Amino acid sequence: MSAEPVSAAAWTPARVGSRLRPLLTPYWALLLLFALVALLAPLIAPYDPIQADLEAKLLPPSSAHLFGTDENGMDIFSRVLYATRTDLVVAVLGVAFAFVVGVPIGAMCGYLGGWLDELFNRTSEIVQSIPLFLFALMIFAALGNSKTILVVVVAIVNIPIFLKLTRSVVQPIKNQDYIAAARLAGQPTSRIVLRHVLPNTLGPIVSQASISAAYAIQITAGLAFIGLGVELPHPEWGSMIQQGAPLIMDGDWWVSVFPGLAVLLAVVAFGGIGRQIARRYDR
Amino acid sequence: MRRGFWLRYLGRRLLAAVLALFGVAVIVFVVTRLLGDPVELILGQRATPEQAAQLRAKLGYDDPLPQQFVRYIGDLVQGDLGVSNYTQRAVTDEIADRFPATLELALAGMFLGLLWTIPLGVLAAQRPGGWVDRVSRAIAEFGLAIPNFFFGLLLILLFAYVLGWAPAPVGELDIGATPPPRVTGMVVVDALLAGDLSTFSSALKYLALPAITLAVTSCPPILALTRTSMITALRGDYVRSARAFGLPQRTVRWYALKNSLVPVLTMSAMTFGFLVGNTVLVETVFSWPGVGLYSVQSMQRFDYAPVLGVVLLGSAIYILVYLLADLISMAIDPRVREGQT
Repeated sequence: MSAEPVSAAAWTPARVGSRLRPLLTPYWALLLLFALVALLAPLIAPYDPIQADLEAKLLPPSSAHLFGTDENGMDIFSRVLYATRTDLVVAVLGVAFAFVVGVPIGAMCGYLGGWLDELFNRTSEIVQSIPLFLFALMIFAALGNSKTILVVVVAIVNIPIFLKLTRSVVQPIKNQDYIAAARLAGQPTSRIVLRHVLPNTLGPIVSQASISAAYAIQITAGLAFIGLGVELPHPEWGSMIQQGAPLIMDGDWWVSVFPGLAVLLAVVAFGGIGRQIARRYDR
Repeated sequence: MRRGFWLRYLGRRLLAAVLALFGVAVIVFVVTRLLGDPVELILGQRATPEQAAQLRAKLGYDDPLPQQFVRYIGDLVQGDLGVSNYTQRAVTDEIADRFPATLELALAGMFLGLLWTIPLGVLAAQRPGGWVDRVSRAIAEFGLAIPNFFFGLLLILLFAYVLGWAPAPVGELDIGATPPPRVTGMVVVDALLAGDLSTFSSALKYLALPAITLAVTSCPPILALTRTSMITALRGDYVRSARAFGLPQRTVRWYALKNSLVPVLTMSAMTFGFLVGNTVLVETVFSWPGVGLYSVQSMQRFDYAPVLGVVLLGSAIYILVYLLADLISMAIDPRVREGQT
């Protein structure tokens, strides 16, 4: 791919089409749908997501309430739509933060090696040996319960992943001839890493970012499920599932099932895109 | 010479495990003492400044940090994880009461997980891209994508509410049922030891759904790895020779499986190591009285010593299981041994 000369003639419609074809998968369509829902929630949602209506408690799905209502008479469809904002924003922010911290440190570790590399690598391994959920509980215990901390948790658990991944893809590149050439040309290390090393490692890292976002959504919903990170009645998928959990044995399934399906679909979308990117770069 | 090598290897792995445990303890120390205020953690935010100062002096939080650290490590080594603010009991005792339930659930989940992932992985590798491969991949993808607590709820909805095959999610036994005499702490095992078959079958019913939840949501990586390492193994020269000799398909498959077991074993160990952490939400959904539910309940009571205790326990289990898997794969696979010399 890199050997192709890029010229104006290369941009024929057929060629652009073949370049864009990977975007025409159900995963991307799903992601686009979620993004649109997050942006347009106020326009699509038929009800105010935190408007209680004591006349309309626990109604099953109907034409008036597509996904039914919860114990407070809030419209679940509207809440699921609005919750897209919470979950997607937390996940994307957390992963972006982990990316910004983990990738440069990982690149430096992989490129320079030495004791610094050893230190960061060992620390990452130790952090990763603490089961993720327990680690999250500890951070919440120490720092308090808020949405900001939720983003911090998502970021912290992902930093070691990005760090180790970047390190492992940078290491084989640093001995390539073109890096030696850049070094001989007298370019400073920071410039070599930024201009010549990192661009060649982006495939696996971007793929990991998408997979991490999928897990971030699971983590966000999971923590909210046990009351961490978001407070009711703020619409969030995990806390909505939690609201419905004790009602399952009464047969009021819709309270949990619809937000749960939303989590599942969001995870599938991000995970699928991540794997798709990984496959492209595997060859 | 072999013996010396083994001892040296064992020593090195043990040392690494101890260092990792130490590292986890350091992280817990840093997070709680430097980022948060331990006295606030214990008293909650409503305490008066005098109360806080009193407790601070009593627990030695006025001492210089290095001294605190030494005392903290000393306590840990003696198995002292502090006192629960809610029950006033030692956290170590409370955890010891609840850990068997978690272990029982994790073992059952792991057993079911291996039962479906390894055979499917082997079958999928026979014909990559075939229907078994595609179906098993779809199941694995689903298991990974669905949050375990939500999958648990769906199982409850289907098997407990709609079909009535499973009991309502109230823990290990019927509410009010007398548990069997405590031997291992695992109700299923204890019931069997006591020869109490009705309790045994009831306990199995309670165990089924949470164990299936763990098996489906935590084990897909084992399936993927079994498949890949089987595909690699089936491409090996010895497989071609075995086929050329006309050995039956089953024998050939067995050779390949033996050769692909080491990575699968390591992955299974990692999965099991993480099961203890992964049970947190599943235990919450099924009111399963293990350490995961304990940590969540403690968290909701602002009782933090138990939370930190479970964090240390979960990490220690992960590190130890990983060490064990490492040593076992050393013992069974000569190639790993060669690689280490």
